[in-house]
Amino acid sequence: MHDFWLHAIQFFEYAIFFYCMMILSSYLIMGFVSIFEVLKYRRERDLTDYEEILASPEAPTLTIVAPAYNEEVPIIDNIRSLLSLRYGKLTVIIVNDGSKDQTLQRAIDNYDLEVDLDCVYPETIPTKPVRGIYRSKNPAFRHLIVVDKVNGGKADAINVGVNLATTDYFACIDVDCIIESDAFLKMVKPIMQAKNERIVAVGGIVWLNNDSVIENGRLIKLKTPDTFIARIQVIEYFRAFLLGRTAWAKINGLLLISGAFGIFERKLIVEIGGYNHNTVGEDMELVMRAHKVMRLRKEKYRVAYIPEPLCWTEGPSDFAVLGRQRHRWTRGTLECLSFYKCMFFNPQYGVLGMLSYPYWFFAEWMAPFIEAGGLLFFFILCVVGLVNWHFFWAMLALVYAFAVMISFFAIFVQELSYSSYQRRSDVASLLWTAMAEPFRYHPKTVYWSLKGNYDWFTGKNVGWGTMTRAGFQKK
Amino acid sequence: MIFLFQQMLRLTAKDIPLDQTHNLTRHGDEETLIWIVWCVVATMLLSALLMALVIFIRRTWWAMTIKKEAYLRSRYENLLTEFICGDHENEMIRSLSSEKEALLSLSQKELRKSMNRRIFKECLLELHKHLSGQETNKLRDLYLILGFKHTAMQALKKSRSWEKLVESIAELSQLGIRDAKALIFPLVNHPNDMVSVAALRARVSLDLDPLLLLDDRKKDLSPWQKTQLRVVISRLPIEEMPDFRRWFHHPNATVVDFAKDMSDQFADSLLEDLTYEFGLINDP
Repeated sequence: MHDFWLHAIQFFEYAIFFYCMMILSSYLIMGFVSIFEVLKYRRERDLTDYEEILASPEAPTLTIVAPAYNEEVPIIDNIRSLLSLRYGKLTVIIVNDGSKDQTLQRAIDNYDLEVDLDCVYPETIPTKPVRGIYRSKNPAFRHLIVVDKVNGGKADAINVGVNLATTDYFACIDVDCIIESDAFLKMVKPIMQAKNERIVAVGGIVWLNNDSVIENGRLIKLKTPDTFIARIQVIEYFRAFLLGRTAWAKINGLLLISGAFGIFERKLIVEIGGYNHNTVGEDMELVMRAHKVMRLRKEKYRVAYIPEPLCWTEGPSDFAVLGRQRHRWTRGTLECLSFYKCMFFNPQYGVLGMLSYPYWFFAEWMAPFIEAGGLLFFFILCVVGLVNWHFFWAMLALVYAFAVMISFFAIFVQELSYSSYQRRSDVASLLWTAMAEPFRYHPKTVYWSLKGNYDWFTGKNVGWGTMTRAGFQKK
Repeated sequence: MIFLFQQMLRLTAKDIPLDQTHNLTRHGDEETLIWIVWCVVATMLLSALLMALVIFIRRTWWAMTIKKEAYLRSRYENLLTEFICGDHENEMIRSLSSEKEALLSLSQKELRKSMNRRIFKECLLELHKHLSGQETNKLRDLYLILGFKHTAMQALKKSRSWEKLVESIAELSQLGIRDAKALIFPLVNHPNDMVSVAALRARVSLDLDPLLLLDDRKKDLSPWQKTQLRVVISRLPIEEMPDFRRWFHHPNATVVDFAKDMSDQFADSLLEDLTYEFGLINDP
């Protein structure tokens, strides 16, 4: 018994210590890679005239697919906002996913829609039945298509849009997101620059606009959110989109393009069967599947990323909704990791198998277990009176200092690159929030992740849950 | 249950000698290790503080710079407008050349400051872009006299920064400085796409035969490069437009596609121009 405890303590201390060092080092490496990438992109952007893409016959054709479910209030403004995006060869497909409210009727009334009897729905990817395809009588809205279908979830709704699209690429967006007017001009540039490789997908930064000023579907003034919970998500998004994804994209190891905003090569997505209905992490699953297929085909390809905030969305503003969202993200991650476990340290998948997948496994999935295990271990040591308090305080300070430094670094990179927040008080409040995060917020994320894991392992299907938003109309 | 668990742990723990429980620290001097950890903590917190300070100082500095830039920009725009429209230009150039206080209160001393120089050059290039005829020659002369050409050529020779290369290529080609051809043309094969595209555009502008570069093009043209070429070609006068049929049998398929697209586009627009010219259709 004596030896068992001794070895257990030793093993746990060493394992946790090296695990922490590995995670901290990976964050630092990603941070440094990102800062160079973001600043390089910024300089390139300043020297590029994106208007030249607008009139270029070489620019790829693009369809925006926006699923809508019970969106009767914002649907009119959202469609208008999508139609006013600056891109020469753009089609907008709104998929009404069996809404129970007046979403479809309001769209019909406001955009002079009528059923297109000539259009045959090509069900290349199997979907729930389509009830009708509508086009506008008004030539001003000739690029708008509204599809009414039986409810089947977000993945199914996007698949309907993909089936109907005839363009080179399609963009998948959340209908309530605000897209920068030149977003797609910037997103297609890597596609046009590619010479001997296929650009199968392009992602971009999605940031939060809670409590900002929005008029006519356009972001007028960005402000930091009033609530702590929303502010903390702003910092999380800085860390994830600006530091993490930028670095992964540099080595073509990006596993996730946000479901709220991304461009995909239509031909490939149709070939691989579209979005998967059987996961709540359909956005990550699609990117992983595209990677897998391209790696197995041994074709030269890239999943590109634009490190610029081009899409704005509203984050949950209370802990209950945020908890549901994080719970869902955890289950999505787990599902994707389990679907593609063949990639784990498999050199056949290159960077993906040797770096991206293991990173997601160890740093994203395992982290809450390690944290919770560490806490439990600490309490046991407290109970038996074996805590080395000097060492404990030093390590606690180390973890806290590192968490604060990484958050400050993300805010710093944001400042150097985009300075999105005009007021000093906005930045000050973000810095203050970053200091409080490790104590006020982080334990909750660990709890949500553990709960997500528990539900997944016990087969409890919670579905998407309800996502309530204050909405742009109120601002 | 909890009480029993605690008792069990206590009983088990009693057997473990304290000096063996220091695991990670037992290999060396514990105090040294803790001291190192605290040093790392202090470094991290100081870095965080430093980043916060830089954020706020940078904001202040940035606000001041923007103000100064706006002032200089408006001053130089006025100066250049007066230079073009007025009849003092020769005096101004002479004064600048002889380092005396110039007419219109612009001196070489002022233009030695890098920020002033940069803004003056930007204003000059911006104005040059929107003008044609004699006025552009005046601006070109001013550009040469103020040594901007020399700086740009030096950057092309020595600079490793792709931004400086792109800027230099763009300004030299905009002002039609053909001496730079020898330095710019090899950059068409530069590994940085921004530089190679800038060189490609410059080559079309500076070469006597605008699309000569296509003749020996071995690498594929990307859609982005085609777009850039199209933009520059469409700005050429119609009489300088090359005959695209020349590349219809080029060994590089991307060049052939590009030539065919261009041929179609310009044949259409030429036909349209001629139609309007001969009054067959009323020009809307």
